[in-house]
Amino acid sequence: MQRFSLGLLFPIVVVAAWWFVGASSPAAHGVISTPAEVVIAFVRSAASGMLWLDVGVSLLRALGGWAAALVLAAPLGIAMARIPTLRRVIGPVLNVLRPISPVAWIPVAILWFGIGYGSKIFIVGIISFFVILVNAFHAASSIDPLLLKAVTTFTSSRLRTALHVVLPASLRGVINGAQFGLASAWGGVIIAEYTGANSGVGYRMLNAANLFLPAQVMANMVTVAIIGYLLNAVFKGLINTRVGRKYLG
Amino acid sequence: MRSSRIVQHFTGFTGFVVLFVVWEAAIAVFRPAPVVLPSPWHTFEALLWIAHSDKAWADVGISLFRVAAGFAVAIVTGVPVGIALARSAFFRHVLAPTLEGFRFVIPFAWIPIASLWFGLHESGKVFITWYAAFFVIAFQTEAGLRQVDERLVKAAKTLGAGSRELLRKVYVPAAAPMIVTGLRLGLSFAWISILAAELVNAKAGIGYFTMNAADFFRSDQAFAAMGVIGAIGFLMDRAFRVLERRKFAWHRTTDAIQ
Repeated sequence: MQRFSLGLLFPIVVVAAWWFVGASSPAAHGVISTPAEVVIAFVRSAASGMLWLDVGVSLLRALGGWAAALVLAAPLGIAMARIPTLRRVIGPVLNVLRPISPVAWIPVAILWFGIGYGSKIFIVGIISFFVILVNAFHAASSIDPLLLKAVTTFTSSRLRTALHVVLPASLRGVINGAQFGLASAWGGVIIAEYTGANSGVGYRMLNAANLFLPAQVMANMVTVAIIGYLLNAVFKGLINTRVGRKYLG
Repeated sequence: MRSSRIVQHFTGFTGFVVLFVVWEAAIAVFRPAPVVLPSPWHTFEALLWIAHSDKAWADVGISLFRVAAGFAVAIVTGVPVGIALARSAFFRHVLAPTLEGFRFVIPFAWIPIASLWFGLHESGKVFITWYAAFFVIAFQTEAGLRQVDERLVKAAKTLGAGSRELLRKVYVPAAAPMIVTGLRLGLSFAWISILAAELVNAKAGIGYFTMNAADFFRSDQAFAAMGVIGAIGFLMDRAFRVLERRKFAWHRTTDAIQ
């Protein structure tokens, strides 16, 4: 109980100070809004349906890019860890592309794919791709070599080894990568929607800032945080269900 | 051994050869407009142009300044907050829930409100880079202090170390590897965030340069700028990794995240 109340103390002080500044300072008008105004803006956009539309569009882009990245990066990461030739050929190219911040791809993505779903999914895909790739690679390359040696006494089939040993052993890393990748995907779609977009949470937020509507900007920031939290919680929840535990370890 | 290393280097090189061949072939076959896909040669020429352009250098310098300023403030604030989180139960109870909540308000989400609050002023950019680096530095510092071997602490106490000495001579040195990992991640987050902020709301900086080049359909310059961005990101990361390997060879860094 005491711990709980202490944890609430600081947010209460912050909100009170924010309310005071927002309400009392005339200079703050159009720049800072009170917490009540943020709540009103939030409720209003939820009631008008705008909120759900924006969240839906952004989620679709984030999940689309993330799923594409997962399908490409997880097998590639595992394959690169187990096949030295592949690693030597593709590794250096990926190591050159990886430090290029995904954000730097945005202008090019708009040139290539326009302002619709394509460019957003491309950006989200790049961000999640490397996160998932690195995690899958690490997991697949740290499989106990003794285990792999033991397997060769039972079977010489590389396919069976891959299916029954490498894949299960790498799954934990792939899942971790998928979880981090999902968080990155959500951040990626927000930044991708700032430029060259006409829908989505990111677009709505920047648009509100350009129109000097701080309450709407902050309501959207709250939305970003809530969706980010929920994506993480739902992902963890799915992994921890009985079915998830059975098949995904 | 030696020959196999040469072979290894050679196979590493083939990836790039393939990349360039595919790049050139795509241009020869599809004949895309230079706006859509500049040739490798044009991109290289644009890179040379950037190297000779004072304005481009100034853009790079401004971006680096913004990152350095925000990163410095993040170190000065993040490390003490991390220490306090690890050492004081009261501080942890008061602050930890709030920090955990703010973690979900990602740095990118602050860009619009920062542009509203600060306009084009530099402090807005520094705020973004600070915010991007602060959390990972604070949390890595906290985690680093928490994993310090209790036997070390007990031994130091037996030898009469006070709480300040304990912090300076036991906790911080033992936590240093994880703090440095936090700094490395924080710097890379700050670098990504400043590019994002400059794409959206800036009149200078390498992110602005890239966006501007694309707006004027100079994708050769945009591609070259991406190369510059990649090189800077790589050097930042490498500098910290070398530091980690040289100074803290005894500590195995575990960060599958990045």
